[in-house]
Amino acid sequence: MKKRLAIVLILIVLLPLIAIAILGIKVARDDRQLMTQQYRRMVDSELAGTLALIETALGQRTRQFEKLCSQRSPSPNVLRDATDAEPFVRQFFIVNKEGKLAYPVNDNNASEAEQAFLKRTAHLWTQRFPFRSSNEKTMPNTGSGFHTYYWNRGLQFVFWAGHQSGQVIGFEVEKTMLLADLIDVLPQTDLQGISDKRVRLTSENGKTLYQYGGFSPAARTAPISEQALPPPFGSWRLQYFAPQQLKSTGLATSTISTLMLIGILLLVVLALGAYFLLAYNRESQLAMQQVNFVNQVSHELKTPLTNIRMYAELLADQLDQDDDIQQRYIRNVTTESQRLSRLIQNVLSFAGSNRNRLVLRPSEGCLDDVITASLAPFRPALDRLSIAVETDLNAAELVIFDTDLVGQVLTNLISNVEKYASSGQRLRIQSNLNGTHARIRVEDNGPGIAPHQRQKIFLPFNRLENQITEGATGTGIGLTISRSLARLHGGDLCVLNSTMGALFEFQFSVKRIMP
Amino acid sequence: MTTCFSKKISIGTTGKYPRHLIKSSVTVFGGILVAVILCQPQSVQAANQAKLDVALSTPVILRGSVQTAFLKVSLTGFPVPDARLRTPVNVALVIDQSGSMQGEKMARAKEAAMTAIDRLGPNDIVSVVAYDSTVHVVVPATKMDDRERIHTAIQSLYPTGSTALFAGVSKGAREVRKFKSDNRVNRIILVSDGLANVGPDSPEELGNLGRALASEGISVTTIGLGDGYNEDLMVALAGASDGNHAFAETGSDLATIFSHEFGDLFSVVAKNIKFKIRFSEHAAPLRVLGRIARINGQTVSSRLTQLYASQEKFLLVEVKVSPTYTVEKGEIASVDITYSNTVDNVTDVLSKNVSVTYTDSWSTVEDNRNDDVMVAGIELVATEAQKSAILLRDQGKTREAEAALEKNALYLENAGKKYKSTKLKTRATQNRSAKKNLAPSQWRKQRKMMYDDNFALENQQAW
Repeated sequence: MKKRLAIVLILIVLLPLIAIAILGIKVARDDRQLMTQQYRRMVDSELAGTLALIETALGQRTRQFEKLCSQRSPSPNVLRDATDAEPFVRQFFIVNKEGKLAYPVNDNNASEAEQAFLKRTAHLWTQRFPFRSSNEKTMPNTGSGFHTYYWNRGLQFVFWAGHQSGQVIGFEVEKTMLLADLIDVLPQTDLQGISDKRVRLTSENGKTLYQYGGFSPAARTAPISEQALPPPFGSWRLQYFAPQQLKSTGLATSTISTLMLIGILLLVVLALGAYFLLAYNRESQLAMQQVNFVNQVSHELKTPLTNIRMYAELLADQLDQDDDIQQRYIRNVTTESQRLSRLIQNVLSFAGSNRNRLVLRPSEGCLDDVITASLAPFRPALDRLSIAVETDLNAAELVIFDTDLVGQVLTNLISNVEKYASSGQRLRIQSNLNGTHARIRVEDNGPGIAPHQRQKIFLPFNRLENQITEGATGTGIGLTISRSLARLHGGDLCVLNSTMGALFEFQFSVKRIMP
Repeated sequence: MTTCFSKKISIGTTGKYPRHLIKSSVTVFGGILVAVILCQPQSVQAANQAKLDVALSTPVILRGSVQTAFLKVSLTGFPVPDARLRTPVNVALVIDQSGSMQGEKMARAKEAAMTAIDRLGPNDIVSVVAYDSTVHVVVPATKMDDRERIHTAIQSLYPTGSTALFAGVSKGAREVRKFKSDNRVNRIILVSDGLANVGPDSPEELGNLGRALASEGISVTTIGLGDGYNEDLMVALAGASDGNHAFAETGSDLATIFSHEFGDLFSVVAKNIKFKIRFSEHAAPLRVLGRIARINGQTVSSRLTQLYASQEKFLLVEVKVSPTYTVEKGEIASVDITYSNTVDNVTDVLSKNVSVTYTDSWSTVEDNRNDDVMVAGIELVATEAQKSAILLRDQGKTREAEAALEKNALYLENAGKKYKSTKLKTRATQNRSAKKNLAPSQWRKQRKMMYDDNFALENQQAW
């Protein structure tokens, strides 16, 4: 019983705990996932914003470059002087109508710079019309755009534009200025700012070209987000780094509140469990005390009762054998004291919480005799309470059963009627014997037992708390013991539906005497 | 012999020009220009105009033999008539605050920067950019109205992290561009003690950036602090943009350097100076010594970002003069110079022709020799030789480097005797002492000193 209760209690506490924990973990994980997603979106959109700025600046620069080319006359001398004046121009060049490089060429007039340019870009001039815009199919030398190539392990930029003369004027772009242009667009690091991120512009070979933001990621950290620059910087990238914890700062509040809620729930469940456990303990302790008390009292009673019985028996021998009245009285004293000692024995057995120690002592007997004998001691009291006794006894056959045990159950049932159902002024006992199956019904016209209490009354110390039990004395274990005894005897004791009062049915099995 | 045709012309009064570091003497070169025939058109000379001098090392040459000569085209800034009328400056201080600047260096750099900034007037623009692993625009370009705020910002610099030099200069240029004007001296002053290690880091790339910035009219002065910076990179950046360069051995040198730098800044009288030298069939340009120039056949072009008051800047071209039997005298080149006069806010154009006289007498050649141009040429040739020696030392060929320096010292010594030049003798001594400092422990400092000297010589930096 206690073990089962403990399991139930544990389940009551544990199951919700597990459920809440799983829920909490799931919520936190979902939360984190959601926040990570949101954070990534935020980072992506920030990078996208930066890229948009770059694109705008690049667009402006491209238009300026177009003007640089289209508004010059395609003459080497003009372009030479222009090269000095234009920060973005490292070297101008002209591709003629035939698609061949017309300036600079390696002649006597070529400066060292021009010769170096020819060397750097030699691969470009091996084919005719080296520059074509994507939408140009038929007309060569029209359109404009960037052309990139690798030289000396680095990305190089050329800008070209078709000239009205039918030639192409272009220039090798000063890469450092192009980079400085990007740096112009990208933010600086605010000295007073929060060190929450680092954005890096990396080159085609992964080298950092520029970076901003106060956070310093450890070496070889992977960026949270990475986006490629628009062409012609296609192989350059913007990388976004941020501290690991920052990824979750956004969700800290919600996670904390979720965890707090879960924590509160856990505490509530634990408190409930603890309360139940305490209440249960208190109740069982109370019951224990009652049992102990009864136990002690019974023990105390045992010795005087034994003496009473001994002296009553001695007295019976000494008394006048012919004096019926004396003999009857002394017999009553003896039987009653025997009954009492049995009762005490039972109580002690029960209190010893080892009811299995009760053993059947079957003997030959007549069931109806046992009923009559059990009624006899109650006669005076029943008479006094004007309780009419009706008997319908149909088990006069001699069979084998524990007469003491059956008598004890009957005594208990009759005494209950005496104690609690005297208002009904009726007691009816009916017996039946069907083969090995004996049945005794004890019925009264008292207040009866409400259906929902019909099980409870068999629990120990469960005296019905209403006016029935008021003023009546009792240990509260009578029916418990009775039922145990009935079950011990292969039967049961239950309450049946009755229209009048209480109807107890006591069934048990008997053995037939071998013919 | 030099003749001149000019739209405007400045007269060669005896001009003094301060020499750089060693500056043992002040060269008076007016005297040797006596041979130069000066044409003075109309009546009044423009007071606020740069003085153009064109001279050949051997204006008289032997007939019939191929000869090389130095052609020196020099431009001397006129004195600022009134200090209050100086050209306003638009300067960005770009300060390295990488971890290595910790301590004394940073403290001195802050002090020097603040002292220098205090010299600025209400019309000047200043910005302060600091860089470590990233860039911080500490003071965005602003008029000099709130000194306290700028001081506080400079005080807040705190050394940490790596060296994003390229990015620092880029953002400095951005601040300068905000107020960039033809009427201002646009300048970035870079102070660094370390190697660039975030972003572009090669001398070539920084040189390219410098060249492009010069095209925009922005020059970069680089100040290398301590012996850990990359002098190749710093010199390339300053040289290509026509800024100044200085080697500050310790933080305490910064105050003087800043003072010189701002002295230059405040004395700018001309900007966007373009040189064009066209050679006739009698001569051909071989190379330009010391400066970045472009030779397209018979034309030599070069430029300066600015010219400082009373300072001479020159272009020295080594030329091959053709032998001839037919003429007594031939024009070999015409020189055209244009620049923006920032004092009068006009564009000035200066022109001069230079010609050579042929003779059969060696003594006439010697008598007419222009020793000033000769010495300038020899100095620069010796500088080239010194650079080769540095290259040898860089390659670990210490012995060869030593020999090269000794050879150079001898060359300078002999030339010094021949042309009675203490300058050349001093250079010879320098080469000798450099020879003794090739050991790893001294080399870093020695190399920086040589770069510093050579830069000053090639760019006629007055300090």
